[in-house]
Amino acid sequence: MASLILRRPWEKLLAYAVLSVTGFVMVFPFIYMVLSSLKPSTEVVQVPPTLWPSEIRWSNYVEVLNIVPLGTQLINTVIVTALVVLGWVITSVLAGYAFARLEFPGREFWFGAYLATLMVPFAVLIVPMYRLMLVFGWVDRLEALIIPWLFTAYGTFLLRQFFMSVPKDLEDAALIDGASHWGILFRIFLPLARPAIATLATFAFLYAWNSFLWPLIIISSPSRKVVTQGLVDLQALYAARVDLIMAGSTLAILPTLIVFLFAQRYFIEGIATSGLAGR
Amino acid sequence: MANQAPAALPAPTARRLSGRRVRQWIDAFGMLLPTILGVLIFFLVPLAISFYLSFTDARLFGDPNLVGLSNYQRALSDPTFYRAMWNTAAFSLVTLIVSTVPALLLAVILNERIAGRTFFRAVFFIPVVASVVGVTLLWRYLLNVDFGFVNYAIRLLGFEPIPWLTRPEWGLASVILVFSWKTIGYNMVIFLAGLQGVPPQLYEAASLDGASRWQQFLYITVPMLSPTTFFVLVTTLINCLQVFDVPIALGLTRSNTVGPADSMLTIVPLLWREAFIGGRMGYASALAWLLFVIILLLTFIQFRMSRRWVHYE
Repeated sequence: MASLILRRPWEKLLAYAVLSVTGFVMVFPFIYMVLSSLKPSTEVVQVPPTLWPSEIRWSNYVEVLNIVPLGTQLINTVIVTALVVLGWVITSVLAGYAFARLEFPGREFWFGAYLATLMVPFAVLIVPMYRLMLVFGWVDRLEALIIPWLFTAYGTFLLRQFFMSVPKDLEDAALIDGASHWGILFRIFLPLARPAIATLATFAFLYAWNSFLWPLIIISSPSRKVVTQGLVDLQALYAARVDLIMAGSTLAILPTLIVFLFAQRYFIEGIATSGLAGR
Repeated sequence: MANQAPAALPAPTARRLSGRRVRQWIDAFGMLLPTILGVLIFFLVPLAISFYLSFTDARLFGDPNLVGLSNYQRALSDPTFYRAMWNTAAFSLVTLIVSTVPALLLAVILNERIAGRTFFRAVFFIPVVASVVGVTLLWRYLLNVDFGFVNYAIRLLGFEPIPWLTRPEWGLASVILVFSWKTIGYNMVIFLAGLQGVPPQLYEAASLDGASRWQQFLYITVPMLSPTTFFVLVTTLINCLQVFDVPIALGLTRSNTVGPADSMLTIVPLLWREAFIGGRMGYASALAWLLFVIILLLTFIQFRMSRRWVHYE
């Protein structure tokens, strides 16, 4: 597409100025975070503030892993995130395939009803979910962070959209050869769906890794908390040690940035797809 | 023989088909079973319990008693509830503008054929993927009145430092700042997808007809983008009404106020505090249903309004 708005050189210059200033505002907090995490504790609260550390202290990271205890909480977060990602992928592939490719009574109605569940704010569910966890004996246990969160209407929507775009001849040929729908799903559709699954997995990762409200309610033992809770505790207990808080934040944020670096395409595609749902 | 064969064919075909259909129902049920169980146990049952609890005096433990509408009446006469409602409304209205207008501007620029567009798109998206709690804690220090970089910059420009997190009148502004900073990249990507869906022939035809660039933007881009704009506004508003992580990570104090003098207190943090600090679960459930009704109403109104100004292809 040709340039529609920026034709004169000074307009391009202005556009780059806007992009650069915004880019700086978006990235500066992360630069500040990483550099502060390596400073001696007194230097972080210096007035006027400095950016570059006078000496590099890697020991801040060793220290922060052993208080709160953030190291254990990072491991908890990894376990919870891995299982939630796996759960989202499995349940969404199965349900998405059924809604896209199998015929059964009331299919469109049930799909619409499932999507409608997205309208209910999570706030409505937190109190009864807490009581349900009491009944199941899962209060203050990692099960509470995993088992209720293995299914997703968003993921089902995403996979259904994808499966609907696969040409019908493929499965007709397999059906004539006597394959079952489970066989067709696993042998033909699953390999094709890899990009859609990657998009879903990146979203599941973000959702699980960054979740805060539900863990805050249901987990109270320091050794079972997740990393977002650990950060808030760190801030409450060691408010004066900004260097440690920055080291903790770096450890919590770095994995999402690394995943973003490698899966950028899938993130952007996933958001564009959900945006198209508005059409 | 030649006459019998076609007559004999339909019967087994029909039987095989219906067998295949039932088989398909069973397969579909099997594939949907995990989802059905999940929705039933972890969505429908809690939804019903929540509705019931909102009419009871339920506390953290023990059996709830029915109390009629008194939780709802209590909310409507509770100054803290009005305070949270007002904060939520003010926060949502300002954020609706601050997090969408710059996003549209950036998307329009990045929709041009300029060098480095993928790079900038990625850069603007970084705050979206980073943990809300993590980045909010970061901002807690960036906004610090003494050693924070934001006030350092403000001083360099020759203004008085702003007590972002220590004075009630700045509390909500801080929440808006952090929330918008995190949301702009997300909205920008959706706008960009919408802009790329506008057929280039429209612009070519318009410029042949002598339309200025500004006219093209106003009469082609804006109407063609309206479904996307509508989607962005609805989702941003719904997310704003449910904001929790930012006010809590930015403002929760030891005495469980959210921001100085509860200046950052919005509905969901209030609900959390009532239920899990105060132990008033019945009251918190009533607050949740009030929020739900407000969200449903706003969604409904926005959809009605959209018929007037949204252009669908």
